[in-house]
Amino acid sequence: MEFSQFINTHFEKEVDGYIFLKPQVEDLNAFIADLNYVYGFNYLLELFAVDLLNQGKENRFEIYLHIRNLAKNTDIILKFMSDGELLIDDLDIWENIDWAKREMYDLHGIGKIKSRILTTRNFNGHPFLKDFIFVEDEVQSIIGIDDVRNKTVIYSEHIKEDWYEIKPFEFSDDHFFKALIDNYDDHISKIHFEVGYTHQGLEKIFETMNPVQTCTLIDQISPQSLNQASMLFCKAVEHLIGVTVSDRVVIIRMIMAEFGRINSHLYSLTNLFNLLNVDSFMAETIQIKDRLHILLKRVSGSRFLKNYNVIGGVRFDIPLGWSSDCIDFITKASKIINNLIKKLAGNLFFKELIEGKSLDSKLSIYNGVTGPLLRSSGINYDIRKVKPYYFYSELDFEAIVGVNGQSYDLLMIKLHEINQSMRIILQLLDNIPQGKIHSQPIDRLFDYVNEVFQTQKDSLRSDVIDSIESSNGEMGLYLVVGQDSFFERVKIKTPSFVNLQASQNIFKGHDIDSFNIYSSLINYQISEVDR
Amino acid sequence: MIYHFHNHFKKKNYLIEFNSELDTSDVLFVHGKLNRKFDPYLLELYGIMRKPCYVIQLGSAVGLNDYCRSSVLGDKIPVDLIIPGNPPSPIEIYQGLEMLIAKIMKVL
Repeated sequence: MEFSQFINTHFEKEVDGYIFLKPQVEDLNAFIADLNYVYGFNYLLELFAVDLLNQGKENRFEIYLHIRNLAKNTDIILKFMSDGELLIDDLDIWENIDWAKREMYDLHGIGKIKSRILTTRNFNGHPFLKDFIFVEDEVQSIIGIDDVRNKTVIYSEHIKEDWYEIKPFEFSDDHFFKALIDNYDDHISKIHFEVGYTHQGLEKIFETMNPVQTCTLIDQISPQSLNQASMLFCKAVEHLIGVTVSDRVVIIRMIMAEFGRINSHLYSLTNLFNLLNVDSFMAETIQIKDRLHILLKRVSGSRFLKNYNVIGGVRFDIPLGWSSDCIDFITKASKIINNLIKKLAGNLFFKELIEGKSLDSKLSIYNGVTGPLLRSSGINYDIRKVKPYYFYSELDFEAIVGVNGQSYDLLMIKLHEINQSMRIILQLLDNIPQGKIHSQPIDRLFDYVNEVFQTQKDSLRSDVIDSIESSNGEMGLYLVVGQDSFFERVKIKTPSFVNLQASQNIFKGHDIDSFNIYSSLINYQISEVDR
Repeated sequence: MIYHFHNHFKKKNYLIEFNSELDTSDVLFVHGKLNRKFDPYLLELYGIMRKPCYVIQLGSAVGLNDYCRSSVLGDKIPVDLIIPGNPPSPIEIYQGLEMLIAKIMKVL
């Protein structure tokens, strides 16, 4: 049967290249298995639930399942209703469905797997339900300052488990997660991550918050990759409410996003060189990073571009003479990076030190890994090339792909991607046109968006899906428009969430030293996992 | 960052040395939003550290949601110094450390 015939009876709509299906079958598991084995939808992106309590529908929850055929680049979103049970509980085609299910149970109380992931084990209720009321936990409130001084608190539960410091701590974000490792002869036989120690519930706040306010907070999700998350959010909301932005704004946003990629890659490289005690290389990467921060501070007053993107534009225009300083920075930085590539590519000792085991491309697809890690295993998949947004289709750059899937490939990909980003920035700096910086005056923006959501609510679409290539991989955004509040659900698909989960399978058989090196190159941003 | 910072300012002040071992260090840095899930670990860390020890809080970011937000750090463990900024720059942290040293010297 052809694909169009197969989905014909279930078809709902096709928007922005995403095919929405409402499957009307009894056995949903068999339907999805067919999509996977026969039609090649082997890549799971996201699974999440929406609580429709106030809409007076028959079933309370609507569940979204986003899958993709990587070869043909077609996206399918399956929507099905639920009343507290998950119809695809037994589905185990994809490895990365496990954490998605756990998150869904944790936040919405759906499904058979009753293990929490983001909140504490003895948490009462499910925080993302619309009728959730928080009740203070008694155990937490007892521990206080006097108990610590008098040492009356006993921590027997926590001291039993082994601790491993995975990488040096950064001030820029809160790297904190726990790795429980079983090992024999310094080789990892089983690895288990525990996350949620910096969980803030940002997505819950975004539901009721004006999108203009959300822009200021959303960059907390990935602080290293600067304003990429807010760029994605602005892009999606502008698409939803029909605001057009000028070419000047688009190009400035693209420049800042590419600087974000450079920044994030430099962080992971410095961590690697720090681990290996290569002080001379580390000093060079820190030098570039500090210069980059000075450059960015001139634009927005903040080293990390806090609060830069707003809906319909950017907050500040680039200052006079800034673009020539950029070129100055790039000429100096690219010299250092090219030097690093030359030194590292020819150095057999260094290569032997870090290469480690190789990652299978099939394993990486069924684990849903994204970004440089996916590309290192030999799969040429970059959203900037495959689904170009903004001006990426007109630019001249290359997607870097690895061969062996080793951590050495990952290192080379990161170094070459910094070069490619600089190449992109140079092309963009040449073509900055004149134009407005924001479509509305910034003081009126809040009221304007409020008005649009109140008066034109019926004409707005019910959901918007969008994605960009962030520095660690594909970052997706799912907005479901609500009736009482702005959004019924805001879901952000972050690269580190899948990459960290996939690491549980990837690292089996590695020795602990290579695990340290590999994980500093994958560059988990725990604020992306916990949100 | 601590390692980079250490290399940066090593020559200037011999009193400051960065270390990740709990039994030999005097100052505990706390940064970021405090979470209910993280609380037991923070208190455990503070309990293990040798006394007297000093606590420096970087930034004063507070979580937004009730269900995951922990109370202010000062209610949990005694805080000696708060350095504002999210995140504070290396120079600001260095100045903060110098202030802490001056404070300790006064007491001595």
